[in-house]
Amino acid sequence: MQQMRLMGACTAGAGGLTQAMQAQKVLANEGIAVQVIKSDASEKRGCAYVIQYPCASEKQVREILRRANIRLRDR
Amino acid sequence: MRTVYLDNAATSFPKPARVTEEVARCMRHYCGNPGRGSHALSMAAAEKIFECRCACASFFGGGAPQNVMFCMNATMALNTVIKGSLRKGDHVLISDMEHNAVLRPIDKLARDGEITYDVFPTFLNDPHACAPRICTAIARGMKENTRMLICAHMSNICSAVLPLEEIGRLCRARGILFVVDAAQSAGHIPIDMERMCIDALCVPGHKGLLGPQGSGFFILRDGLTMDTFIEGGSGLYSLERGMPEDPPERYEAGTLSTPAIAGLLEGIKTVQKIGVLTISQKEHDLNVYLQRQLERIPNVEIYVPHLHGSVLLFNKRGVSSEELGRQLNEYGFCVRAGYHCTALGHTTLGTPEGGAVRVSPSFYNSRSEMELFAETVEKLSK
Repeated sequence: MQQMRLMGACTAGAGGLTQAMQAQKVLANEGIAVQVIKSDASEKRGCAYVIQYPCASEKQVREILRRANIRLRDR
Repeated sequence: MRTVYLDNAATSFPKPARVTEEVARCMRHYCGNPGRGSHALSMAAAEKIFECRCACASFFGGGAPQNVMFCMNATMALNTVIKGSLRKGDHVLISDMEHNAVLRPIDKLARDGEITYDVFPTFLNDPHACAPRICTAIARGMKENTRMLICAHMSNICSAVLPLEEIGRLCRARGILFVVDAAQSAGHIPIDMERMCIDALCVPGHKGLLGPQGSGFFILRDGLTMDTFIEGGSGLYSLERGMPEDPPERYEAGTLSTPAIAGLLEGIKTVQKIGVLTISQKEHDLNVYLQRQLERIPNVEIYVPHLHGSVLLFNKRGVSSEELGRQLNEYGFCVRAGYHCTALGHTTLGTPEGGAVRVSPSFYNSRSEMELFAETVEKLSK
């Protein structure tokens, strides 16, 4: 699992690491490769985990995760 | 002298090689603190734990991996579920076969004036006991404020198995939380949380699932939330004073035992490879075979002889169970004598003062070991 933030990539808050990994697994099954990244500790609540995916897949990512009952948090 | 291990109801032994090897591999190569950092070893540990969550959820029909919470053992799982769910004024039903892991926390809450509870009969001494009879007794015991029913799936002192599907349906229809202690059944007989309407399943990793000690967990049904039992670091939202809202991190304060969980994953894979039904059949056959051997010996009393599974309970008249257990140990047999932390169950079965000897073979034992055990009991009887 890479920790590098990519240029042109979008991120969405997943909350806990387990939730982020589950999102990654569900999206991988649909052919979308995403990365799990620890968010900045400077965020309001303290660190959490985000998923990073190609911005071109934004709509598809959100739809797949909605169907899988995985809640994303707006950051 | 050869050791014959027949105490698998306490903890399974030996562990499969793939379990011990994975524990060692974890400690050597990827034992970072899971969910605490973004470095490679922390993430590698977290990935292994996530893999095990997926395996646990899938194995027990528990839905999403987020529903699986790791802890030390089934006792901690039960305490977490019981104390996180019950509120002042609640009423609880427990079976007459419960282990102290259920009885003690429930009785403590009752003594503290928080809850009330009743014990429902399982009629295990009756060879004709059936699910409708048990459910009728449960329904009679339900009150307006009954919030939870807790029962062991399989007894730890005999081979009794409670009809979870029927009890679960009754609880679901009445809006009562159905909590199952799967300490003796997980890995021995099939469990499907959805089909059995189980709200919380409490499981030890170190018994039938063949994992290391310290690898327990509980699974909550989708959407079920409760208060936390312990609080502390979760690696998430560190600036907040309260625990995170979402499972599993909400219920997993403190560092998880990655080596134990890594080993548990291999234990579950082993059980899946052999097949739960194959394990169940082998244990049943060993139980029946041993019982036939022991029945021929004068002065041996077998309890609930109509039940066959992974546990056989017996006594030799004129000798205390502890003394018999000690003598058997001298011949290399590892069995457990006494009350097995289940005084309630021993009262139900009517064992004498001092309890009884429990024999709990596993898939890895053989008929010849059962023969040798019975021959030794006979020799000690003379």
